[in-house]
Amino acid sequence: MRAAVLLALAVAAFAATAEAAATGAQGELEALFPPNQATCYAMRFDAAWLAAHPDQSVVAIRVMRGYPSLRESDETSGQGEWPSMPAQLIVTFRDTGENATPRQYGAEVECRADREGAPDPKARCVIACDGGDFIPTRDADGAMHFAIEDGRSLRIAGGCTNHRELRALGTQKGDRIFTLPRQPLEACR
Amino acid sequence: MASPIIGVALLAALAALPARAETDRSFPEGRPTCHARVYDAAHLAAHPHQRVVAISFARITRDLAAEKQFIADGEITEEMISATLRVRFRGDPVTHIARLECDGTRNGARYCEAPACQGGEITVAPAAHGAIRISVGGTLTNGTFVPHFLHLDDSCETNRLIVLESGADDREFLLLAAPPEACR
Repeated sequence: MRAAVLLALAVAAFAATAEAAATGAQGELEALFPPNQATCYAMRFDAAWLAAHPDQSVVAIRVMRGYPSLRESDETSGQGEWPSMPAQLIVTFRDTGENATPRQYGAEVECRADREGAPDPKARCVIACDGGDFIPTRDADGAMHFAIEDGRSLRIAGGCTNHRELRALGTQKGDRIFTLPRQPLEACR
Repeated sequence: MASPIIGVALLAALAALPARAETDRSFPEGRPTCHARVYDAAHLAAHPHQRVVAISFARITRDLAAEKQFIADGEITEEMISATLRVRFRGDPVTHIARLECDGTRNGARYCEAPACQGGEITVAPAAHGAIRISVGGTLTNGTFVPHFLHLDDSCETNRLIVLESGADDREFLLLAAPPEACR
């Protein structure tokens, strides 16, 4: 009897911890992307920075939850038991395309907290069709810390159906971790 | 004699068509289209914050070719269209042109993006009498208006962006069906 009580207490404690951690990740996500609000995290690197970081191929990176993402959340509100927040990841690389303009790629990401019971629940932004994910966390000053975990990369172009152009982020060491200050929406244009 | 079951199935299939047919009326497959609007001095005087003085949305020969290619590539649904957006702003003599790819047909609306610069989007929805309504940004169900934008060229990373923005008075445009000349 005593063993059963102890086991029940242990299970309850584990469940509470897991729930708190999941709530923490969910809370982190909601702090990064307040409901019904357009949000923009953006960083553009200048020439001096890029010269000092030759292993970085990213010139600019933005994570935006603008009207298209908010509309999608609005339309799917209350559906499903594992809520997610769509956002857009926009990355400009050093190499140039037509008219010598830097190549820019964008992908929709679905950000959500790891499920309860995950060993170390985190908020995670996933690209569909096995395109990989990144971990967004909120810095003390409200900026987004953007991290691609070791051994992983993000397929930002050439996803589910468009195989015309494939592009991955995170294959170079300098393209795995960024700090993106929160900015007015204009910075994500 | 045709089976009544087939007849019922046919009627059911036709009943499912209106939303699609509604959009197809604005953008019939394989046929060029043009919708345009030029705002006169009186309108602009009454809307001092409106930047757009002329706007057109067309599917010209190259757009129809692109639509064929989309289907040939097997990448998209039949509802996807290619279009050419032309915009002229107040005090700017240049007509800015963007090639768009439009997809998604919720309530007959399509969402259009300019492939050169990411993140921008406008909504194109059918309106009465063959007209279309172009929206920049939109209103959520709680009544909040969320602004948005669309790049009109490939100036994504320059200091001088050419962007159609919802702003104070550029949120919605009603464009009437027009002859092709109006979209040149």
